[in-house]
Amino acid sequence: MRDKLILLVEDNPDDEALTLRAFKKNKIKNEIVVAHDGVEALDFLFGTGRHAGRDLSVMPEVVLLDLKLPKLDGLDVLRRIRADHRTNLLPVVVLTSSNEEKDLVDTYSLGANSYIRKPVDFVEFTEAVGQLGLYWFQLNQPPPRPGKGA
Amino acid sequence: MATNEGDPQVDLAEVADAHGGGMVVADVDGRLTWQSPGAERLLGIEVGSDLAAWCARSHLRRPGTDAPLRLDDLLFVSALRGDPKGEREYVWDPPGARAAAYLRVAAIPMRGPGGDVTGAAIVLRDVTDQRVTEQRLELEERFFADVIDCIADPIFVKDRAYRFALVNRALCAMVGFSREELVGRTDYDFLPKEQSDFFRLKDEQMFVTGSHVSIEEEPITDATGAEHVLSTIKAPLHDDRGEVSHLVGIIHDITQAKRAAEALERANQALAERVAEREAALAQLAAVNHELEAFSYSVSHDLRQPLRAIDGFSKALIEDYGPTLPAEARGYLERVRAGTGRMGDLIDDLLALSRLSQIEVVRTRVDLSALTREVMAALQAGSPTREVDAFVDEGLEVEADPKLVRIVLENLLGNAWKFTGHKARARIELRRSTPAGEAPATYVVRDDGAGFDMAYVAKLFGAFQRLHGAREFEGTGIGLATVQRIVHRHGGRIWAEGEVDGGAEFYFTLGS
Repeated sequence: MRDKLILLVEDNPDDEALTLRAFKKNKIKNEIVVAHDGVEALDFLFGTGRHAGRDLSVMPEVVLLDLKLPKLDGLDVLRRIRADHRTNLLPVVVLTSSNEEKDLVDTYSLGANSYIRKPVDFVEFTEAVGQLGLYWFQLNQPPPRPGKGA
Repeated sequence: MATNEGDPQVDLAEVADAHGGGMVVADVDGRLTWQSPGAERLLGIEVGSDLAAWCARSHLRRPGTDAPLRLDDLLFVSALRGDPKGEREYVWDPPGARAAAYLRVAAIPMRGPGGDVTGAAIVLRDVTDQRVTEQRLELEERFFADVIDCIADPIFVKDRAYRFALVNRALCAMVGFSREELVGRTDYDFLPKEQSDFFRLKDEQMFVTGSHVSIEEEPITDATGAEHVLSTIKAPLHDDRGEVSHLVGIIHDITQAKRAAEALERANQALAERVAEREAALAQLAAVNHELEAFSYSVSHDLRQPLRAIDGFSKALIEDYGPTLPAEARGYLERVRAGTGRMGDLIDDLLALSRLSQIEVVRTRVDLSALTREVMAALQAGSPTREVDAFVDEGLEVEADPKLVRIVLENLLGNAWKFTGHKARARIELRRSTPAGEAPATYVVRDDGAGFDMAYVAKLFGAFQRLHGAREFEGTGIGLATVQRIVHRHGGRIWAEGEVDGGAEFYFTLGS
């Protein structure tokens, strides 16, 4: 579990802090990389921009993706992840405030693996993140990584 | 009868009868003294007869009258008086004939050597056949004229000199001139020159080509000053040698059709404008809806985020620093968290309410009775200790959107459940309040709970309007506003009756 990386794409510092706290509460000790907008998220995933030269063999176990993001929004990020062979199997969980049905449909149709609405109540939020951790880090078998082992 | 040397020697009787007629001679007393064989055959009179008496006996009369003739009216009497040759036509009744006969008569005085009148020569010709033919023709002509007069379309015939030869009544009425005034005259005699020129051009065209000429539309002002639109066809009439001798014009008044077409055109125009306006309004509505959607989206995201922060950090504060905080401070923080939770619920309800005005109502058959039992069961499951008697009419079916009807029942039954919460044993009903088959079907959700004061009934269905304090009963105050909106979206009505501590009744219809 220790080497498993989580990419949190979140622009709001409050939500970032609360999410990190929820991880901690749920004893999820993975390394967490935070990208503050869509472009930064893609830079990290593809080793471009400020993440140029990054070791791309290290890929996140799961991407937690907020929908409302500056520069490039969550749906665009998701679309780019699914369009690239290096990341098209990457588990992406959409974490958002929205409970608009349209968002839900859009994210699933773009290939999101899960959709979690951030509840206002922090206790509920912590539980949701806890279940997320349980599922993605303990039950779920990650997809084979392209390039690794070749 | 005197003859002179050198006069042609002919038999007078032969001459007299040459044209199928005859001749008689009368003396000064009006007695027949001679007649040709033709005259005898024609009149059946004998020599020596009194001519005036014969005339009276034969009912000799002038054409067109039945009055017996006076002596002065007899032509031979004038001749005997010395009047120069006269010619006249008479009608008489030949003995044994079925119809009257026509007699053309000329009378010439005969004079003696002294110049005094000695008698009269009367030349006769039977013109009955000719007159009968003429009458028949006249009758035919009148028949034909009557027929064309019965035709509502104006009809005229012009000769090659462009003179009216025949017009029907409709044409006279249109131009405001009588048949007598029109026949024999041309367009120029009663129409403005410009218009006459135009008609003349078309007439000439018809005569030159010998074939039909159509004037599709021509505006004209009639005798009463009314505007007409006419469509005219001019066609050739041929004489017995096959030459075009006349033109016949048939005018069709298309004013009504034209006006109808114009009205239709205007109506179409107006309709097109209204469609365009409507499309513009729809586009605007779509834009507003889009804006509203964007607003809802934004509310859903942006309003919730700070709430989450308030709640999250309050909770963090309690968790991390709880032990060091005074109990009162922890209490305040819990209140902050309760407030944010409530605010979150309000936002959710408000969003749901705003979404209701955007979604489409899809009607199917909904079993209202079954749905009611389902909702009641869920309520009972939520508070297992409550004792509530449910009375639901069986077999209630509505044509409505099942998802929306469920929201209606959840709210109404949920309210009934909530406002009977203080009772040891409560009663909740769903009934049909109108007799079966009566439209629109009205349903009622009835409870025996806290009820409400009818003075505030108007406030009941407004968003965020609450008639009970939060301490008494929880709620965001959006439920009934939501119910009302759903009912209205179905074209139905909702109203309430109640009294304080006397229970509440919510009546609703769901349109057709």
